[in-house]
Amino acid sequence: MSFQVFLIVVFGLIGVVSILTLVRGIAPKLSLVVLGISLAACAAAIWPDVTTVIANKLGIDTGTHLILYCTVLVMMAGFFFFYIRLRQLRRELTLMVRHVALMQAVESPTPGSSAQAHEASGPEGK
Amino acid sequence: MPPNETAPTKTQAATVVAQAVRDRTFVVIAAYNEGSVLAEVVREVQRSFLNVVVVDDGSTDETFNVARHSARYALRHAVNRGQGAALQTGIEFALLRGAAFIVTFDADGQHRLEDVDRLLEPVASGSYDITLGSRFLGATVNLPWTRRVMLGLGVLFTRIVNRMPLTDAHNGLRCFSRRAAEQITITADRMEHASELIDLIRKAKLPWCEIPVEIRYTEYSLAKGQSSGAALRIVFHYIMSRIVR
Repeated sequence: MSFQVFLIVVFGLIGVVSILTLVRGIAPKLSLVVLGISLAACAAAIWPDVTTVIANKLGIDTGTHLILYCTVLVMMAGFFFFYIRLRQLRRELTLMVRHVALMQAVESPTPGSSAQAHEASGPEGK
Repeated sequence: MPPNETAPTKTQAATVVAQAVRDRTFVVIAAYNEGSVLAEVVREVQRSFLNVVVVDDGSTDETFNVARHSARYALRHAVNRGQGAALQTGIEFALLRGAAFIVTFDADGQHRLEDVDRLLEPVASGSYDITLGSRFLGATVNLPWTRRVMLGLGVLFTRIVNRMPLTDAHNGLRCFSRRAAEQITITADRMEHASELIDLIRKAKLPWCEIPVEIRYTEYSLAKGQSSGAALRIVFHYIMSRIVR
């Protein structure tokens, strides 16, 4: 019983935070997904037998298995989401690094000789 | 000549390109921790080519210092972003500087200067927009059998996934016309850029061909090369890049 209360409190808090972020317009899609998951988790904690009923209707033995499969699916979706975000960030980092490299290109008028290099004054050339 | 010709028969005889063409060519060298060999490679290339662009990809050794004192142009990535990213930086710089032709050349001393002319000649004459070096049409020196198998699997992968009848999928020696370089933008930062590049060439529908080249494997270049684990990582990132744009 006490663990049930613990789960309800934890998921309830997550739900409240997601409502706040949703209201403030911070990552609305993600907030909505988190709110949905936390509500479902609260419901499962309050009425554990309902998960078994749903599981049976879906052809799964027990509610525990249903929760396990759902958790795996949510985690995989989460990993995929963060992978996409990581790729975007890497791409942006590369563009920034490239921009700086192009702006700070060094030109040596007499390559091969020592200490002749100077700033190429950006890539304006052409 | 028809576009997308695979491996035209080329004689191994030396090709000489006019110096005027060479002077309008930019040779892009992406380097990561190549400080010990870079100066010699750049010196060799600069015997024939005026415009050598070295892109130091965030090296932790003296690569950038070597580059700025040996190459005409030296650029530095503040953090390591991978060979694909470094090549694209060099290509963009070359385009901004008015390059008519762009050659990519490895920093580890595997490539021969005389092969650059052979890649450049069909592009400079207007027959092709892109020429790709092929070690399997040309020759290899000291290529271990494990590396040969790995490269063979790479070719097979390219033929199946990229649908391009290449004989050498991951050769760093390439030549682009300005038109081709403007149309092709490498977005894959790391080693998977080689596969992405083949995709981009196919989609751009530009005339290309393979040219036999010789690759010299040294203890140094083999130590710097890709492991089998890295090859799997390249395949994973390449597949993901096709799923997630």
